[in-house]
Amino acid sequence: MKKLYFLFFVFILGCEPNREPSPKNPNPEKNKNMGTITIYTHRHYPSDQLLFEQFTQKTGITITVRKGNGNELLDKLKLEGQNSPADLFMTADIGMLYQAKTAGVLQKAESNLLKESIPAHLRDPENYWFGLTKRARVIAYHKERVKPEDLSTYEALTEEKWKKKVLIRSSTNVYNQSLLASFIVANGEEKANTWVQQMVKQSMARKPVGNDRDQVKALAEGLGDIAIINTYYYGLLLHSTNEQEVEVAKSVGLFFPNQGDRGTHINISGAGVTASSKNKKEAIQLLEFLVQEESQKQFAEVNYEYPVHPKVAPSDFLKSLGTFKEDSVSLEEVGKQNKKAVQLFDQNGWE
Amino acid sequence: MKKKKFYFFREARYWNKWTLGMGGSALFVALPLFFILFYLFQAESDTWRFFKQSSLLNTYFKNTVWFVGLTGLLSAIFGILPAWFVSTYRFPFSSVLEWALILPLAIPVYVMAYTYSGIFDITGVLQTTLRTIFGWKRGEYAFFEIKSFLGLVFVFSVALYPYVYLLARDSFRQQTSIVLEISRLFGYSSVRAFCKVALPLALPSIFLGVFLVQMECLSDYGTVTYYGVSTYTVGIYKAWYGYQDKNAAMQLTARLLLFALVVSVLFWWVVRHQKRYQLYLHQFKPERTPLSSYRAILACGVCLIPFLLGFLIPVLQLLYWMFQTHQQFSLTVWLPLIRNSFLLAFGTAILTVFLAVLIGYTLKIYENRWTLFFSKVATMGYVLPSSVVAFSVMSLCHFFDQQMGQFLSLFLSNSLIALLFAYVVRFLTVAFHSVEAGFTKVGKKIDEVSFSLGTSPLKTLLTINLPLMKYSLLSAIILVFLDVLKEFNLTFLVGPSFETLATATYSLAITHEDMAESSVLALLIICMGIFILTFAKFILETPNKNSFFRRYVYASDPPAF
Repeated sequence: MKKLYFLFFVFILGCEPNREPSPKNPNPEKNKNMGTITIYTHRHYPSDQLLFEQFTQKTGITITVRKGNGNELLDKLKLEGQNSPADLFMTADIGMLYQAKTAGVLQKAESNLLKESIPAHLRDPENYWFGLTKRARVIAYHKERVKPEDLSTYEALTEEKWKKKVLIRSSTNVYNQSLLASFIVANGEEKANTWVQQMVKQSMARKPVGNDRDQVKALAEGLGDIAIINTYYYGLLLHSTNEQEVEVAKSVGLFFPNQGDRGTHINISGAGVTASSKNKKEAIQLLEFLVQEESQKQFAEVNYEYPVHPKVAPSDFLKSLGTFKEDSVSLEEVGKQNKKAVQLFDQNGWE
Repeated sequence: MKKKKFYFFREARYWNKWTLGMGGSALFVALPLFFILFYLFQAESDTWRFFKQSSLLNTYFKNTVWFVGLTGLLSAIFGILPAWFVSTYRFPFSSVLEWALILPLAIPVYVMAYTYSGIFDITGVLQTTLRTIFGWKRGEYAFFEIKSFLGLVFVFSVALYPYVYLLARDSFRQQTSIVLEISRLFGYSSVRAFCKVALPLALPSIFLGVFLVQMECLSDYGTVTYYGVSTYTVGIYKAWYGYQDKNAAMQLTARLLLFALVVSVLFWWVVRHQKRYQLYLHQFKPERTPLSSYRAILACGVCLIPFLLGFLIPVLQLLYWMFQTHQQFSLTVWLPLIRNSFLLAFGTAILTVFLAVLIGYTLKIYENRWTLFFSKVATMGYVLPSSVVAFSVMSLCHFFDQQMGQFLSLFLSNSLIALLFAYVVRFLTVAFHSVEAGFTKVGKKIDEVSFSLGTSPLKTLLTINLPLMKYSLLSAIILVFLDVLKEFNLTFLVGPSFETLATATYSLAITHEDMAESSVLALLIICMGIFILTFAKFILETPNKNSFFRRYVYASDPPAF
């Protein structure tokens, strides 16, 4: 009898997929009053989910979110082509947005509100993608061992005085790739190559290991004197529930490099409407919702990211870091050089 | 010399309904693999040439060989010694440790890695306590950095040793009584009996376990990069996303796949005769010798160490973080996650075990070069990084949609079947090895008897083989269940956008780049794993009223958990 049950069970399970033939409706006509949009996002913040719920409450448009790794989602978009259910593609880095644009999976989104709310260098000149939040890649220094007067630019980190003192994470991380890409745009490939060479040979305190928060912790350990991190990680450390982490964060100061020339490197977290989107109007509505002042404030308060909207005041934490001159190079250019940056890292052995 | 023929068990023909059915399903599961191998025949790209010329590949090879080798060794040590003690002797806590030693499998490897990183960090429990006790100041002392090559080997060994433990223990249990009795006749001490007799007999199972561990090492990307070790898989991802060259990435993956296939075939070739020497004596009841005081403490200690390192310490740290971050207990948020995780894991487990039984049984009764080929090719998915499996499955679904879906208005992309298929491709390996071990335990002689009496193969399978390998089946289901419970990447990309415990844990962990916030979700995964293990233990240990079981199965094959 037991074997019969087993067979029966298996039979049932074998049948089940057929009961659900998984039709994919390219045009959900059932929701005529309220639309529905699908987002492919690299961002996993719970605060994003809250914003989406607020949007749904306000407009009645339901949002289906597919989270994942930006690169892999981009591959998925490319594969699905015109049949993709995605309406928006959100990332945490400019490189992926640029690749999405060149791969042809994004489409233009015309919106005056978006143009007014986002400064020109933080969105695509051809309106394919739009930045939603900003983050700066800054130098964190140990307050007891380093004076801020000694710091100046990213390029100066290869000087003799910083020998074996710089902590930075792996080159596989997109933030480093974008940073180097911005160097290539600003100084040219040769100088960028030399910079990488010098960093690997003399400035790096250790082989890259861990993430940005680990670099700050290594600072506290005394393994180095300066680290390169994104601003919001500092916010996370400072507001951690672990007292030790708060103490470590307090022993470290942030310095915005290159104030004397082009400005500190910034990166955006942004989104673009997909070429296969069947709900373009609703997708643009969501984008407009995310750049309006209340949403921008939430990004600043909860995630410690800088808002892109020029009129939104940054949160208290961000204010405490001070104002800074940001690198206003077109991020489109930075995105173009991403692949070159990876090559330079590999040529010089930055793991 | 006459060419050695395989033993054609029942019929001389290659093709009959069993081999065709098995071949069909094996090839179907292997479709993504063929998709990847197809890239071997594509033209070389610039990136591929760049990779070959630079020293990158050398670095990757060197790192990977050392990493996989040392992890295999350490996990073997963590697995074999406790397995021997627990199946041969009785000492305090031996019955609890017997199943508790499997528990590290309930913890995802990246959770283990992040947790240990948190423990050893300057802001972690260990250093903080030491600073309080000894009055050291931050920055004035050097401390062991766990995010290193050795740390990585340690974390993987401690997370994956249960594969070796399970297979070694089952093997030891089969041989224990006869081994000890005969060894006593020869005047061997227990150490010598272990080294000279028990261990060599158990080697095939141990190597299989180590092979599983090494495959899982090869398929990992996130943990490896976090700890700063550049392995072959890092190269695959770099080619794919850094250089944006899918061709080069697939070429690299295809070579990895070929290598794993070669090793698998080699392994089969080396041990194919050893199956004749296995002692499957159902009438011997293994007796476990009780140990005297200091030996008992030693045995207990040796068994406690892997459990401590692989389960107790990480779980305690996660519990600590859970309280520290004041996690909110929200059933409305958790229940859908738990339900999705459970259904996906259970469904996949049943599906994979069904396929594993089909392939394993056909392999047993019709062992020839084709069935061997089919079985090898269907069970390679475990070595592939999950992104590659996801991409292959998505490509296949897309191809199907383009060619056939539009006419049938049936779309595979983003469907549940696609997700289940992806899971099966990746986890059939685990189920198959466990089920195959079970079939080997039953042996061919009993099938011979059955066939000579005129029973069909199907009836023999259902009425004789499966009941005798109840425990192997259950352990296969458990292993796949735990693996699917921990899988997040496939769930992200393939199928409908489900949120499971694994995806939610990963999302939170990657947002903060820290385990503290997602500790409660990680603990939920672990709880589910514990639940399923205790449930299995309960099923296996309730005495069965059926006398056939009592006499032949229960007596000789004690509970697996």
